[in-house]
Amino acid sequence: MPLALVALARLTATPRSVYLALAATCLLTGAGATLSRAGAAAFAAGLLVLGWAMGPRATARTAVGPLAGAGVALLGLVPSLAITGPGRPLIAAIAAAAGLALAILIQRVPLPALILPAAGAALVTALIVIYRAPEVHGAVRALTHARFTLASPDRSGEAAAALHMIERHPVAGVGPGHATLRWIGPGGGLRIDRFDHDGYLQVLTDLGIIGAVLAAAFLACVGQLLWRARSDLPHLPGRAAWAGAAAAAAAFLLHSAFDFIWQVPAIPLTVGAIAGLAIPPATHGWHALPYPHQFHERTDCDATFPAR
Amino acid sequence: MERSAVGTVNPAQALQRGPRDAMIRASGIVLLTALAAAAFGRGAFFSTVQWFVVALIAAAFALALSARAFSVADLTSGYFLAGLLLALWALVRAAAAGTPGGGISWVLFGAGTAAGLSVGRRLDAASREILLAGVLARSASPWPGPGGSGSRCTSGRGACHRRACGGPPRR
Repeated sequence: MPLALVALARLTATPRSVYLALAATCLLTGAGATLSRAGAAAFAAGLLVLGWAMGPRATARTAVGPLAGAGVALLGLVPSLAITGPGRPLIAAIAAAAGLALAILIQRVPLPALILPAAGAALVTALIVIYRAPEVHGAVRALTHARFTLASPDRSGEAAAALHMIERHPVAGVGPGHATLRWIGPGGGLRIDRFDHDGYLQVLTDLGIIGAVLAAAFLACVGQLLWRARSDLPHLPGRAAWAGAAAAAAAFLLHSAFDFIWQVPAIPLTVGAIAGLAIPPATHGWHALPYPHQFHERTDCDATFPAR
Repeated sequence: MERSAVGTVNPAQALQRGPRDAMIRASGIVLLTALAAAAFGRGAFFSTVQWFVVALIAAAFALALSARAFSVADLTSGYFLAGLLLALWALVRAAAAGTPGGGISWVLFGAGTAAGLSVGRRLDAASREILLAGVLARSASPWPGPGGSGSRCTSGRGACHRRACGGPPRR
């Protein structure tokens, strides 16, 4: 999700980039395919940061293509959602190709010219959905039942078990990898997990208050660096790089409260590297950085977007 | 400093900048390799990949350090110290709990992220473009996730819960 936001941010600076449009569409499709509610909330938070940093209109104009494309690609996954049924890779592949094409089409063709074709495509899609409704009905129903709700009994159970563990080992935690969370599930069965679906609780569980303070200091210092770097961004590519990093960081911080993404090092490492690309070195000012704040070429957006 | 000194550049300094720039760029490539290894290695969820990623990030940091890309101010900045202390505490806590290697994911979270950030912020324009393009290309490609493609809970890390054997963190 953070990388999708980075791709969108950079797309606002170079709106004609096919590579970025395709990358953003692929990333959004992949993120959507996980059906993660926390991921969706994190993306929404990141999009808000992006809108604040780059302007809501520019952000909306940039995001509409990749979002529509990802939506089409995700529709193609619906027939494969049923766990008991076979996958439908051909439908998924066709939808993915159509989604990618749509993202590029929206990027290249003025929106008013797309209204009629879009209405036609929506009609065809509706007909297909109605025709195939009995086949996918069960999958869609299961999906809406499981995903279109704020309830998450396992998360609640894990959090309660983790808090109980933190109570017993508040200062130094139980040690990394030594947490075994046990709780009674909604059906009355015993549930066991090794990780909280909450990075902040996980650090308290594993490393105690000492570790939590260090982690908080680490995140706060990175946030402070990123916040300071927002000033003195005269050119659009520089603003986009910063906005992408800030949006990615916001999405990461929110998502951390609902999934154990800190235990998948590829994610924090990538977010850290992205933040590094938007922060100047301690010994040099922005004036000494060739990128992104020394860009002087004029882009399409320079003429369109007001300077902020 | 380099920019403001246009017209008065010391030839000796200019000669030194070639290898230095090359090493800084190399650090960017190694960092990208580390991120790619982490991503393709099931998110670096498992310890074998974690050690490999630690080695690559250490190499990237060492390359940047040998190019004198870091000053004392860089290395004593808050985020770097906090990340390093978090990693050290995780190692101490894991050793005290009898599993010294257990803290490696926290080492990557603290020191690894701080090192990656430090290397990233020292890169030049071309290296930044390469790193970002590489990360985007890697992420847009199919990735099986921490649990592997179509994985079921069959590994020995736990039998009663999908996430206990490394299923993707989604819900």
